[in-house]
Amino acid sequence: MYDLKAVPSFDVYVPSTIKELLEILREKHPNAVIYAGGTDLMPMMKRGKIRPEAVVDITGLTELSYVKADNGVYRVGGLTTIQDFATSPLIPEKYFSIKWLTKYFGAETTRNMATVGGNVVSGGERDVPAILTSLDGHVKIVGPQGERLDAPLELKLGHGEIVTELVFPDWGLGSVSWFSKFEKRASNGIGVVTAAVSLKCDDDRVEKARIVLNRVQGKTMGRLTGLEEELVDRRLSSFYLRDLVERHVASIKPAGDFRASGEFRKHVSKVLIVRGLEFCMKYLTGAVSK
Amino acid sequence: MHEILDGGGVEVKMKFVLNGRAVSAELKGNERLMDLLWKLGIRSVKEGCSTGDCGTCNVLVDGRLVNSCMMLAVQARNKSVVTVEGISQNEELHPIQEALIEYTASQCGYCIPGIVVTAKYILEKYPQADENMVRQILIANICRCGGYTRIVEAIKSVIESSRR
Ligand code: FES
Ligand code: FES
Repeated sequence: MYDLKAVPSFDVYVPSTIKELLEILREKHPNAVIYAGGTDLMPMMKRGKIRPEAVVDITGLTELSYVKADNGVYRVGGLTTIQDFATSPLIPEKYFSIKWLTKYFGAETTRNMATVGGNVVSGGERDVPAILTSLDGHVKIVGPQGERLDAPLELKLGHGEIVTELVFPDWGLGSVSWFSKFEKRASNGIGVVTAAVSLKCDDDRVEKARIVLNRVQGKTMGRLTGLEEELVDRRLSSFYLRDLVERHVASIKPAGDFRASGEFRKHVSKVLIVRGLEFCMKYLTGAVSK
Repeated sequence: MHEILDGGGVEVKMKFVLNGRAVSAELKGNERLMDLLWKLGIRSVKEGCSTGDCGTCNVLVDGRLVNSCMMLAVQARNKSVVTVEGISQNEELHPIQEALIEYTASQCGYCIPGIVVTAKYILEKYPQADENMVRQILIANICRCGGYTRIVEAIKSVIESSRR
């Protein structure tokens, strides 16, 4: 099972601007593989799953490493490390889903290397797409045809395209976001179930809810839109929560594997979502009474 | 530096700072930072898992703790890399190393260089770290001899005495 190969030999390109990078992908090596943090790519190469002919190291594109807040929109450069994203002072504390990446996303070394763009494109554990989806966020892509936005869960990169930015709106007053992962082993950050919940309320009435699970159908990540809709306009109370969540989780069909059966995943999904919603309610009602 | 071509086995030159000294090195595109460090005579960096799980290859790059098995050597261009060789200078042990000896935290020693670098990172980045925090960061440093308890105690003692 554990048969590691030597790193294959390949050409390496080291562009220092997006323009150079796009040129390399268009003219020199359309099949080049992009290397950022390497936390997914290197293990894949060592396990012989991928043998690139050419690699483009994009860590020289310092222009893609930033967190900005402008006019109610957060912008995170694709090359921003998970650590820098999670600990950015520009992102307020109530975005717990983002802050808690330091707790749920692998080890400190992984967080110091892995990038948000890399996680959106190739991450084995897709925490950033889950969180971004729960915040109504989008991914900005640049390529030969110019710029476009895509939803994190539908993302498909065309030839010569790269992810340059994550964008999400500020949820404003009365909002909070939560994230959790149920894992077998504490250090590698691989979740049996991961869940992201965001909630916005006007006083104690739900205005908007987003609920994302890592497996809704088979291995596919997705939202529980039925539950989200049913929460809207309700008053915050844990009174009806369990039944409501149970009813909606009943229709998901997560795939089983060596980590857990589908049934077990379903059960944990329910527990996590209830926890998430309860956390959000407590946080918001606490904040309201202040 | 715009591109490096290695398809024909051509070696390229790269500059970086290794343990405080400017170095220029020849390397191939597919070399990992770990491979380059070994070529330059650094022996503290160990290859345990090669997939980012064990922490025996940990080094500091511009002050950040990373796995040198996951990083391409070219990615360290113009950066500053620190290994155990740079932590204990002039044959003098660093307080972290003294503490590991005092607490008999090292058995076979294979994981220890990675632990020393990780502890240095904790001291610099999280000087207020409590036991939980120390354990949380050391979570990805695997010690096959199972010396975890003493390793944590040793590191805690250094943090405490550096606060005094
Ligand atoms: S050899 Fe690098 S983490 Fe194990
Ligand atoms: S002392 Fe032997 S592996 Fe840690």
